[in-house]
Amino acid sequence: MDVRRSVLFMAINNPRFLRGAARHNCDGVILDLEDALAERDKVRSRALPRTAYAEVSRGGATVQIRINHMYWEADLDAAVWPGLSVINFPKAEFADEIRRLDRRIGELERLRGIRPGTIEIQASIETVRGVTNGYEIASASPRVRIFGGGGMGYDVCRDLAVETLPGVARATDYYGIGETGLVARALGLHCVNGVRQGTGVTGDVISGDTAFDEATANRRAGLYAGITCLHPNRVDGINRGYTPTPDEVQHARDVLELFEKLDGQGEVAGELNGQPVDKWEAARARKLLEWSDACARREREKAAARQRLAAAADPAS
Amino acid sequence: MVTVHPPPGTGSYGVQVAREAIRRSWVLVSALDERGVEEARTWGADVIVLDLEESVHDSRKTEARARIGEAISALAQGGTEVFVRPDIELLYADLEAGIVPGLTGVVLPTVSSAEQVREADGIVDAFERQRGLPGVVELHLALETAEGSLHAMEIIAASARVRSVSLGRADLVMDLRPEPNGELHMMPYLLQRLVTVARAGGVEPIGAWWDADSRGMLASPEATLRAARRARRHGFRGGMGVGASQVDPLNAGFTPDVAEVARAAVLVQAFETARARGERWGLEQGQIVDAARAETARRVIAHAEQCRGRDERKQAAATAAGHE
Repeated sequence: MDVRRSVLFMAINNPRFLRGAARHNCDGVILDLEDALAERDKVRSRALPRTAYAEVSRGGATVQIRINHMYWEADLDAAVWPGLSVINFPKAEFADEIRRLDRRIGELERLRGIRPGTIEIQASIETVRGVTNGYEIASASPRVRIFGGGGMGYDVCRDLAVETLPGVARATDYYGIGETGLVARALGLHCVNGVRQGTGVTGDVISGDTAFDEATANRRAGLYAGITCLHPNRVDGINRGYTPTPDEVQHARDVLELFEKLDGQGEVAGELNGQPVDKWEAARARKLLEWSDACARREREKAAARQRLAAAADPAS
Repeated sequence: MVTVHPPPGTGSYGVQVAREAIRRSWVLVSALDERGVEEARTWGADVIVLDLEESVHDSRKTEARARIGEAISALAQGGTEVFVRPDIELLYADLEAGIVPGLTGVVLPTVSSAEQVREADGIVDAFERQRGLPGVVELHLALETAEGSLHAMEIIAASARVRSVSLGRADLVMDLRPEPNGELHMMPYLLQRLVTVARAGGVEPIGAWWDADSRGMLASPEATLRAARRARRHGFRGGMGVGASQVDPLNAGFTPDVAEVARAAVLVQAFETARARGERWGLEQGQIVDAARAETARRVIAHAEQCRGRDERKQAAATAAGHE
């Protein structure tokens, strides 16, 4: 299981952000070619990705890049280089857009020595057309492994001509998010739609406390797809909130042990401290243990990367 | 192309038998639970669902199948309707055992595609003919996977035997967990979607709106009543449960209460008085009562009547059984 709990957004043309990326202990970074850049900076910023990937991943983070919907072709040519894991494609509206991306990424992978199929497409549903075409978009390429969106962010609100109200759930919010969530689950994709707490990129963008609460709520709801953040303050809260506690891990082990015993006796259900234990609870417990192991592995990987970084900075030690 | 079809009992097939209109409590009993099968007829459930699926371990399927025919016959003597829930991967063998005289329908679990429904329809059809069953064995679809929910419209239309649908609780629902607001993640959306699609497809939506921490069918009687009432307000007509303790709360929660029926009578009266005066709508405490609202009120009254009729027939059957 791929652990991307905290994914930190940064403008690709800000050298200070890029240099600092390795310090924040985020699981992933998204380098932005889209809304974080002024229009006049877009062309010259296409020279940056090729060298940026090595720099921002020094702390062990996986690297994503958000391209522009309009300039997808030029941006892809600039972005597909070794070291990249995900192309974030904003405002996806039609399956054909995804098929075109898929083909061009495939060509670039071949030309630039990247194993075929390495690069994922994360198609963001941000408009009403995207919501209505969700199933076709999500099933347009095997590179789409994570999916969601459709809530009342800036673009859906623009489409509907209503004010963006962070933290306020409205009927269209349920529909858009519900439908993309259902599509993700039907196709077996990870779903980015988390528990709605009124934070996120259109709400409180800085607080570490709300980040912890949000990640905790997601973990308890069984949602492991991660949270993107705009400020490094939020990284630690997100990582901690997503990581199962020792009590949860022990409980999951107890549930599994009891279920295996029941199953061996030809029974389908039992009880542990008054709570039901059956194949569903066993499946949850297994998922939690896998996730817990994967989080620990991710922390070790990042720690090793930071050690290498420190050793390189101070060759004497 | 999605077509709206008549429910079983009104369509153009075979010999018809009367079906109950009211199905508030659907209570699962494992085919292996001898005591449950023995006692279930006294619980007052509208529907007993004899289970060959989740409650029966793979190592005991043969044993469960061997018992189910007799259990169906015995339960069908009481006032309850009897459904059987097969394992969708073991459909032929389970239906071969379960389609016997006395059976009202099949709860088809973990339905994900129209193809599965057509397959079930074909198997049911074959056994129905072979065994000369009077009337039509119905299908209740538990759309337990995300694919099932997503393609619900097409799936519902796949067989004219389908009279009701639910989200079930396997796969998708069991994968959804509580949010801080007390709802299961995605559940409000899924329930709204189901109730809309079910009615658009001409079938009845079944499901209780459980509190997130109830874990559905294992809920207390109080939580069950709450879940049933809430679901009824959103358009659901019955809910699934397990065990005797959930029967009364499901029956009560899915029956319009006295105050609601009285209120409906007032609305109908207000509308009819206005119409008699030649006006298009009436006013009741400042609110407009138009033809649609009056029609809804009439339906509430009729629904309450049907519930009472159902309860009386069950009572009569229980009394008759007591005299045996």
